[in-house]
Amino acid sequence: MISYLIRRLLGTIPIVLIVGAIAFFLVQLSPGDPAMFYVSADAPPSEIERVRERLGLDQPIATRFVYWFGQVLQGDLGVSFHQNRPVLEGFLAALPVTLWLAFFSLVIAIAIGIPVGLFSALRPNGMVDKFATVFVFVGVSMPNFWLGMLLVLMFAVTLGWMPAQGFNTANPWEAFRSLVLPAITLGYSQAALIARMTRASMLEVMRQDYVQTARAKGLRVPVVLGKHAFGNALNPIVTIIGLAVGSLAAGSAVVEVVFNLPGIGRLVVDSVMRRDYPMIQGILLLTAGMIIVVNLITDLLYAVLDPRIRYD
Amino acid sequence: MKRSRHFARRSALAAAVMATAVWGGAVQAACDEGQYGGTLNVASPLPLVTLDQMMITQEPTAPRHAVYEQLVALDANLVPQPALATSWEISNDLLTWTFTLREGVTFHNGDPLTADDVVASWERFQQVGSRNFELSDVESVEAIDAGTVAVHLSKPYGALLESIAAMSGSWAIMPASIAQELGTERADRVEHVVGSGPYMVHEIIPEVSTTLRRFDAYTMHEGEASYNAGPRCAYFDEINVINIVDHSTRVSALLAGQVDLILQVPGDEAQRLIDDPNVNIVSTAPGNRVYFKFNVANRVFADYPLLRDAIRAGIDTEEMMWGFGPDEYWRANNTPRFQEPQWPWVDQSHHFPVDMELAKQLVEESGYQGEEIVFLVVPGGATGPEMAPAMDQYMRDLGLNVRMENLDSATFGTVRRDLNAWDIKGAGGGSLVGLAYLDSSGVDRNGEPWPGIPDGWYELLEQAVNLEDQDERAAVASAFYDLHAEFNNEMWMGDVFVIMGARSDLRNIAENDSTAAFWNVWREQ
Repeated sequence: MISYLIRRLLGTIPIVLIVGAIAFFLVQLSPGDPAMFYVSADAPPSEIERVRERLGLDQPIATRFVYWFGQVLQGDLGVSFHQNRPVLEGFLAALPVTLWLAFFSLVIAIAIGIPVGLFSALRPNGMVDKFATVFVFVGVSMPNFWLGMLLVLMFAVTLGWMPAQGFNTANPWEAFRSLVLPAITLGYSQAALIARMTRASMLEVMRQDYVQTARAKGLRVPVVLGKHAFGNALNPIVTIIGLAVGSLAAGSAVVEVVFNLPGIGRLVVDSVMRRDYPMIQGILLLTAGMIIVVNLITDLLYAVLDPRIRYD
Repeated sequence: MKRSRHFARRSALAAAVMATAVWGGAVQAACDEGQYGGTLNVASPLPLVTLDQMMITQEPTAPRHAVYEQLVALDANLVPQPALATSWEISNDLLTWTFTLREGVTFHNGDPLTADDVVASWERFQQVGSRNFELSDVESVEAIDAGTVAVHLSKPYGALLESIAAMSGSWAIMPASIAQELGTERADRVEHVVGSGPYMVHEIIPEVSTTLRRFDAYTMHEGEASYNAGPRCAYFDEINVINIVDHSTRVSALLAGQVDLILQVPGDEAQRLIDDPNVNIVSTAPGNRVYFKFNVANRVFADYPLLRDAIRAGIDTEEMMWGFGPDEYWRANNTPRFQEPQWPWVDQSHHFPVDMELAKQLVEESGYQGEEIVFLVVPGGATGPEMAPAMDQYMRDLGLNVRMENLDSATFGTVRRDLNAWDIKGAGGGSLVGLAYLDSSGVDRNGEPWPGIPDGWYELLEQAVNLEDQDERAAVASAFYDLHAEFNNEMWMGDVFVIMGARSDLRNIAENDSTAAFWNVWREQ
């Protein structure tokens, strides 16, 4: 297991660097000139050229790539055009919000998704299953921004129970309250997916001989479900949770914009709109690394959950 | 034909200056001791990362003006008034302007204001100032003594004071030590954002919020508070400027009581403010002028000039403007520039009647062979989703082969400079613009005059700007309109209003360059 882990971690490095190189060229070759954001609309071409020089955009793209790549290998992701501070500093400032949001969203998604999936698998096409199906379809179909706005109107504007926007870092309780509505917004759609996967996986497992045998032995339903069925149905569920963790950790641009949370998602949107090349490249590189690590953890969990899986 | 440098400078100035002529109303002059205290939370749509007033970064100007001051400041009538300079004299040859500095002024770091600070700020402004090209006739700035500064010009420049008082990208005065330490670096860190204004920077969290705190040693200016000039009473102990990009979220934050003041509310969100008794709309002013610009240098509209007249002949500007929502929040206005009663050149003769038959006839007469017409639009831009699709359909109805390209603003900014890449584009700008600004309609985005500009274009503009007699100016302006209409390189649609909302207990809010000024505002106790 240890040697597998080391091999995977070492394998991560070239992947991240390849992602970085692709990100660099995708970003830098996209149309649009970042200098336009730092000059007046009627600025003469000489002024635009001066800004381009200041931003390092007067160099050929190959030169810029070599310089950037060399800096990355030394652990320096460059300086954000817009924020005028190191990219890593900007990323780390935004990361906690996104991670907390991802954590609470995931808690909500798992706490709702797995029970709903389990109960609907108990009696397929029963009343609970039908309600669960509606729950799932609404969750998957409803756009995040719309659900978010509805929640804000109800719980922030009308009832005044929750803040409408922002993330209060000065007060942990207020910070938690700031994340309740966004986490519900984000968690609901993930809960729907987990519920759907849990149901399908459970139905599959419950058709297996060993489950039929357990039931034939007269074991109680909770024991059959909990001990024999659910444990064996977990792998696909862990897979989808792993995917959810990956996407949540990369930030949800829509939810972060609607709730004005200064996380990675909003940072990506702002950076793309402003053609903040160093910041976009840095975020892509770092989130790629994060997703690879999450996938690795997911793979390792398979072995923990299923003794038949061995990586040595 | 070369563009007049005089107008090149004036046009930039006017865009910033004229935008405030009507809406910068006078506010109370004396500070009311009973109104001090509290925190003002302001929601701004634009990400705030720097307060460096010398550089333009598309950020709201109000926080910068609360922190920095200039030698002179504009009042609501756009007349330069004393600010850090209490008086000035002009030499007989008009080449030297001598400013006397206000006594007793200290910067936020405790340094006293001296002439050396003004000179050092000038030197930095020359290096980094986004609008330093407006002051290209300034040869040098000299410290005569601690309280006197001389500005030496290479040739007379009558608009010197207005250029010094520009609202952004301007010659802000900072301590010499800071100016020299910064050099070409942007002033982003709290210790570098040092001015002499009524508020000092306490904290900057890039793209999240900026916190200002009252500067107790502020030296008050005399006179009447008016727009950017006069006394600035810092009633609030603290001001938090919070970046909330999404319009709907900004309105929700105001309704929920999380913020006290929100800038830039689109018309379709205004009803939410009207329905709530705890908030007020504090301003609805024409803020964004929307128009369409033809590429008259290359491609279809250069090859078939009559097509431009055809499009204008059949377009119903009012119908187009309905895309922006209820008509309380916009007005159709197809004269080549904005008209307000105080401007002497109001002239109704330049509204164009709608004649679809004529439009189709002109298309036929133009010789147009069905070449593709590239129509550039920014979905979130001035003509945006509200008007651009209607324009697209209208041109198709005329039988034109249109391809509408929706671009993000960064791409649009680049593509529009390539005059081989597009035929017509959506455009926008400040609603209240001076006559001099029309100079910019005569040049493309590369600063080159459009081919085929009629004779007399620049001569008329220069006359209109410099004439003292208002009737004569009006006559010249009217002649210019005729010329503009004949050339027809722009089709003006109208003005979309800028709306600001505030909690109902805020008092004395004055608009300042399309955002609220942060000084002289208080909360009713």
